[in-house]
Amino acid sequence: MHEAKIASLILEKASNKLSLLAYANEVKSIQLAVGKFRNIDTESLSFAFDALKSENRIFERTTLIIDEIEAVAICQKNGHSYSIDFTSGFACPICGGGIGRFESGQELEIRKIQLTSEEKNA
Amino acid sequence: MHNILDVHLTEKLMEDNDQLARHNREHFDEEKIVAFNFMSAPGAGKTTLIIELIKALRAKEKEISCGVVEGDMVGDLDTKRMAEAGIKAFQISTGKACHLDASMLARLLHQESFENTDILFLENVGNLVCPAEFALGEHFNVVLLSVSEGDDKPFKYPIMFQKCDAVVLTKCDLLPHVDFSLARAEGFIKELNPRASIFDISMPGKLYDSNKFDQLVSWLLTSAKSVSS
Repeated sequence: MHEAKIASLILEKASNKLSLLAYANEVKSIQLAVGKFRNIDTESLSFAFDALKSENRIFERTTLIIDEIEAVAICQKNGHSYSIDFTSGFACPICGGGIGRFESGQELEIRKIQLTSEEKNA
Repeated sequence: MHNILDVHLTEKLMEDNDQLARHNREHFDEEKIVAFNFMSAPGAGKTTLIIELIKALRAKEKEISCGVVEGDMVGDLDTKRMAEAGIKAFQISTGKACHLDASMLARLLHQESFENTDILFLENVGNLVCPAEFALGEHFNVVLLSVSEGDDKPFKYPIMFQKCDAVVLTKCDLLPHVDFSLARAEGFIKELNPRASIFDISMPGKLYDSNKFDQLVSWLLTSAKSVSS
């Protein structure tokens, strides 16, 4: 439900970053890492991104690439790491303990921006 | 000619919100306010529970001063309910946003005086999804689940239940009439979040073990004192 807000944050953050790179001509793609243990619906996020991107010329043809990161938890009892598949519960498969912390799966960050720039000496 | 250039970076999307949440927390700590963020689906009983908790806290500790921030998409009905109960409350209308965020709270904290408030209840917008993504600067997160919603909700909305410090199972006087297993709900919560305190309660005066409500009041006071001491 908040994917439109996230989409506008992607464009805002990428735009701020690119203002440092004055030679950027067009952004070809933005690569995003989204952990599976976040409340983000990637389909809605892509839809919102495509709806908002035309507001800035530099993003008009930008593709949003979303890498979904597996949720890997560390058992609170035995320290074992295990993947969470969201189908059979959240307990450690070895001892039945609960989630102590996460090794991965909570990411929500831009990892790469691919852009084109004019070749000055062409 | 065009060159293609890859810019590698790590740009956290929620950093601005998290930074403002840290600012709010500093504000709370300077003013010696302990903030509890109450979250649930609509209708789980957040407003009623906050009113009853404040009454119970006042009965236990006469000098305690409590305030409430109400987050709703539309209107100020809950703020009026608080006023009727003699509780100081401030309304944040979120408009189209389905959650409170740190900037909304920061604006309020700068506009209004919370001087001498010991405990501040932040009643988030009724929603089991989005509020979990937006830190506010609170010291503790409390999630409510009413028994009429079903015991599978922690499994279906895991992120909310994984992040909280306490889960309050409300309307337990209805247990004889609904298909809800306390053991099943608690099982899911413990898998997700072994450190969370779990309270099965009903409001005072209802047909349910009143000790459970008292235990929640004690947890709240102990938690608040652990911050302010």
